[in-house]
Amino acid sequence: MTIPLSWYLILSAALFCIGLFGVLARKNAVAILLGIELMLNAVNINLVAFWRYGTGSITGQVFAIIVFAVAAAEVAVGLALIISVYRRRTTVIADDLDLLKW
Amino acid sequence: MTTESIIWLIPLPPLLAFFLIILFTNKSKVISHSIAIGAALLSWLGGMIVFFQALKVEHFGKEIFQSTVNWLPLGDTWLKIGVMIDPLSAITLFFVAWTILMIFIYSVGYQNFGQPKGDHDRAGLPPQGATVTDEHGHEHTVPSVEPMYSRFFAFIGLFAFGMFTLVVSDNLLTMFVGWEIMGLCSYLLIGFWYGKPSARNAAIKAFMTTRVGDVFMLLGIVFLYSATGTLSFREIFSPEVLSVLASTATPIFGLSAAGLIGLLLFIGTVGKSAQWPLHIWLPDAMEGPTPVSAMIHAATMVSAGVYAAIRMFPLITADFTGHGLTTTMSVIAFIGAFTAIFSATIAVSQNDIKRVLAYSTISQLGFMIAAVGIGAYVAAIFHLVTHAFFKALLFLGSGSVIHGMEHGSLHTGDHSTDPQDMFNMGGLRKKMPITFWTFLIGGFALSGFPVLTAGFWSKDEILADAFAHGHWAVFITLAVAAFLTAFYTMRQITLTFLGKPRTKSAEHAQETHWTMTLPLVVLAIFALGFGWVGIPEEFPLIGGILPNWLHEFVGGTLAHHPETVPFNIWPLITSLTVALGGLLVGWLVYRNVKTAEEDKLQFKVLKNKYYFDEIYDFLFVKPSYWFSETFAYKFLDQTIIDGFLNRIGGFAMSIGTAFRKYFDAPVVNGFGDLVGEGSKRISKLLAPGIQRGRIQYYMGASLAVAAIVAVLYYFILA
Amino acid sequence: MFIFAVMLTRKEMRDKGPQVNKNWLISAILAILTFGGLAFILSKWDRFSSTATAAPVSGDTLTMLGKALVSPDAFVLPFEVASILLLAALVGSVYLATSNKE
Repeated sequence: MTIPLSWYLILSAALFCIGLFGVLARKNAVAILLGIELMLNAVNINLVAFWRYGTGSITGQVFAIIVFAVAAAEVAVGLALIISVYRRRTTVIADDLDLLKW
Repeated sequence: MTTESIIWLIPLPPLLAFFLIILFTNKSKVISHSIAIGAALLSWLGGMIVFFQALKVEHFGKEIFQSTVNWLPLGDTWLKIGVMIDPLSAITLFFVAWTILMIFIYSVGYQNFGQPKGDHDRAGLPPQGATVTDEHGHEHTVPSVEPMYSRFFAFIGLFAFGMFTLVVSDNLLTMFVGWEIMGLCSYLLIGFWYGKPSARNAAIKAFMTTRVGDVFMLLGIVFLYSATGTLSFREIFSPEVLSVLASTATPIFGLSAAGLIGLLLFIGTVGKSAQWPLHIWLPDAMEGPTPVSAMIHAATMVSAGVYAAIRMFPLITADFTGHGLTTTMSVIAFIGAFTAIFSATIAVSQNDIKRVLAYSTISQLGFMIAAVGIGAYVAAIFHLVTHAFFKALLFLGSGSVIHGMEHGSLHTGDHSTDPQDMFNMGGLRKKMPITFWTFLIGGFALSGFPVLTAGFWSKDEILADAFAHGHWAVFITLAVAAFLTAFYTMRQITLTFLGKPRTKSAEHAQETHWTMTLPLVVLAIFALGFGWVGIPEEFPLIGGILPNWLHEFVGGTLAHHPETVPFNIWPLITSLTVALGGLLVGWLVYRNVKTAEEDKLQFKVLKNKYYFDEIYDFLFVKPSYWFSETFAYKFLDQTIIDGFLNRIGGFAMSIGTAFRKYFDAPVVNGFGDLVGEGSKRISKLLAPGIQRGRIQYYMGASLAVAAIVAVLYYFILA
Repeated sequence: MFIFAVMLTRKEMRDKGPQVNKNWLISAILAILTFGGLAFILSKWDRFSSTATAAPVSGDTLTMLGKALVSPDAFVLPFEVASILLLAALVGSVYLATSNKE
């Protein structure tokens, strides 16, 4: 049985939107980072699906690899930031970090 | 050097003297008067040369000396000016040159050259005297030198220039220029002692009054120019032009153009020669120094007026047919005769020695003008020349008398006697002999003492002419005026010279310096001798001895040589009677009068000059003052014009303020403030809502916006 | 990375109470709208439902991927750049996490 491309695309769209919900709605800063991670992985699924169902070039996979590497870097930096913020304010709740407030 | 070029040069030396003295030599008295007298000598020399050249020419009237240059370009033609010497101007040049030279020499002595500087003298006031100490230590006061000495010579130099210009000019324009220069100089010279308020007022009065006459004269000149297109005498007096002018009618009083122009030009003479009604300036002009009075009011300026009238004789008589005077001529004759008797009556009651002579001048000028009015050309010229000589002589003599009296009053320290009042004099015959004899000659000439004096011949000629042509009113008026002339002249001589000195000043009077007495002697010679060149042919006894040279010479000026008046015994008897009778009566009455109170002829009306000054003050002066000060200045200028401008200014100011208050500040500023304040308030309002500092909120907002944009893009734009 | 996150933050950052912040509803709506939009757009694409061509690949996919990542005329440059990015991010996050200790 063949799975049409649309399933993969809908799947990645759904994951993306769940990740989006997480980013916008979670209190904990680490949870926001997790949401971001989810979005990136959804994009990866998308990329690979297009590679699989499309042309023979290897570009899709390469792109996915690169995205992984970038996601890892980004998480590292994000965690380091959260740690330093925690050290300062002993909180990781995003709502309390409102120094940019008018 | 041709005669014509000499004529051009005659007016110039005095002008040069004026400029040199004013610009350079004001400090040095010697150089100034030397320059001035040198200039007068040069002009005199030039005048004599020209005169004698003129004598040599036969029928000089036809072949005159003339020279013109093109001066102003006017369209196609040029306005020419030039010089001309015809018989009339030759004889005028003769007496003008002599009298001016004599007066210049006289001024040296009159202004006390060589005397020490005064103690309290200031420029602008007459000199008051200097105290000197002689070798014994006695102090006495002597006359002091005039502080403005050089200035005086400069002014009389300018005046001489004006007179010479007038005499040698060949057209009305330069004649008018000379006329006006003399008017200016008379203002400067009458007001020479500008420190005295009376002198200042007199100068203004003289200038204003002559100006009135000059305005009419200018109108006449303009009218003449517009009617004929030329101002040159030769061209105006050609028969064609004259007949055109005589036949053109004007709407004024039914005069022809010639008559109207003649009348207008004559009004200039009325002002300049102080005829009634413009006579008021001449007596006041006695405020000037005596040489000024002599020059201006005897010899030159007033003579210029009569000269102008005589010059215009062909124009005045253009429509004269010999029977019955034209309107213009009647007016002229009337004014002349009326003035003669009018001022003679005033002269009888004057006490100031110079005032008597002033009114006498007015009266004699009236004689001359009456002569012009009745058509007696030669008689008018004759009297003009002789009058110049003896009136100048009389004025200079009176100056000498005043000098003597001042010397006496300074010597005695008596400052309360007026040196000019005749009733303070007396017995000066012994103290000042030369002055006495020359004054006597002059006085007799004025009265018309028979045969010996020049005045007799000229006056007699006028009376004869009036009689012969049947102008009875003129004849009788002039005869009465001649009687009064003799009367007041003898009064003057008696009070001044005869009898005993009445005041201490008169006792200590002294004969004056030779620079003053020499001119007196020279002029006396002329006063005696000049009459003999005009003896009529048919005079009994001496008639045919000397030819009537004057008549031949001067008569040639006119196109038609005037005929001599046939001799009649009656005018001769009349003039003998009035002259001798007047002299006798005057002597008899006044030899016993010692003070002013005893003088029965001091009628108030006469003393106050018929109140003419007061009348004019009321009629003309005060209204003019009112008009200029109150009406024009306060009302028109300050209230209306300034008020109007101030109100415009105020109005503009109030508009500006209103704009500022109601538009600029609330609307313009308000708008700016509104924008700024509004933005602040809006952002204050919105900022807490938008800028919360929470990242999730920002992300959500940006997602929402991106979604909206995507929707818009997808559905609407693409 | 998840393990790191959980290990590092377990003790200090234990959250009590609800896990979502107060905007969760709007965020949910937004996420659902996003999902809807994406699905709609994707469905308009003509190859949305294309089935897979089952074997476009020739067996050795992983070797191909490796070769693509390091061969000079393929994607070695992005690979190297990504590695450097990762290095920088790690170094930075280590710095941030350590040097802010008092």
